Amino acid sequence: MAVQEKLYTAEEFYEYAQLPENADRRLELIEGVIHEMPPASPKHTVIAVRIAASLLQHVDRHNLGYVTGADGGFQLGPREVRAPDCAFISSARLPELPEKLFPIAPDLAVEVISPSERLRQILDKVNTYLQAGTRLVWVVYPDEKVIDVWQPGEGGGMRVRTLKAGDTLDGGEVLPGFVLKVSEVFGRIGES
Amino acid sequence: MAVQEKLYTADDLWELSHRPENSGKRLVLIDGVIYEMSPPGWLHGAIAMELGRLIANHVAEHRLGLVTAAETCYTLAPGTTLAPDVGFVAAARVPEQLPGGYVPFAPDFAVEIVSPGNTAAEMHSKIEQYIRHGTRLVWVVYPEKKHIAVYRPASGHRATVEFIGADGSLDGGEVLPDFALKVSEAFK
Repeated sequence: MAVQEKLYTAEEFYEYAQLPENADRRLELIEGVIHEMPPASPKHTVIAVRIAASLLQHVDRHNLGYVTGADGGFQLGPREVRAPDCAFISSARLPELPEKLFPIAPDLAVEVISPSERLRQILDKVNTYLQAGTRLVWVVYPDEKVIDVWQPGEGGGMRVRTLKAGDTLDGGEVLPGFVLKVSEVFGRIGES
Repeated sequence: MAVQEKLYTADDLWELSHRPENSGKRLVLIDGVIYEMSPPGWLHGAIAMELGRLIANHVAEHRLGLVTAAETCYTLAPGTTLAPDVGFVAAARVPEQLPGGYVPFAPDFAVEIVSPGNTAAEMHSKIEQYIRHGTRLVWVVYPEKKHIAVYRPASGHRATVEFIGADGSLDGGEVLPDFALKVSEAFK
């Protein structure tokens, strides 16, 4: 939902989000417009935390960088700040944690999809991450129990692979050695 | 660019675009909002014609259905009318007598050519509409990058996409059986 119509920069957005009255709101800046994200469904947050926990274990064990939760803000462009449900950013690209927004795109972004989200929003989101330098985007569909793995393609394109029950999610070149069974992501969350 | 803010129907679009003051304007309707499309340039038009010619030749030879040229409007849903650069309707859905108005459903196959002014968001919005309303194959052609993105519907309103580069080739899948095209043929 659009909160305001004036076009904001990432800096203005950050100041706005810091106002006391906005302290508990989950906001994103999309093409200069501030959007508020409603609280996620139980299924949504359980899945996001499962993936985050699994990533954190791997990232900490190998001392690779940082794993962020659903309230992390990444500046993807002058008027673009996104908060993926979970993300990984390597210490090679970001040696120290910044004070305000993450100034660069995460290496890996995870987005769990809500039933109200539309295809164009999902395509925009994936495209925005990949254009900003993210190398891997996992788009997780709790109802369909599938995960679409998006990566940059040749010539500025993007490519996708769909993982289903029985498949295993892997970290590819972004997180070598990381594996997580799709069935573990969706285990015990009930039928849609 | 949005022209008006009231929510319109396909009938409104028909009426509006046949007013003398709108003659020559290329209007489309997405979720009840009318957008004016800029007239395509030489490169855009040449690619549309060439792709249309190759597709239409195959369709005619194998009697697969009917191909439409750019500007032909399809009403995908009451508030959504789009005009793909090339559209295809399978034979089973083509009536004996073609109506004078818009095609009353989504094409089976749509080709959209990206113009320099088109944003990714605009293209994603069109792709979403085609996929939601039953189009089985969408090609999005990027003349500058010389690649073609192939979208197909997947379960739960998802879509898969494959970007085929200049040295790759495309096929018509189940929608246009036996149709094959080298990407380079589209851009020559």
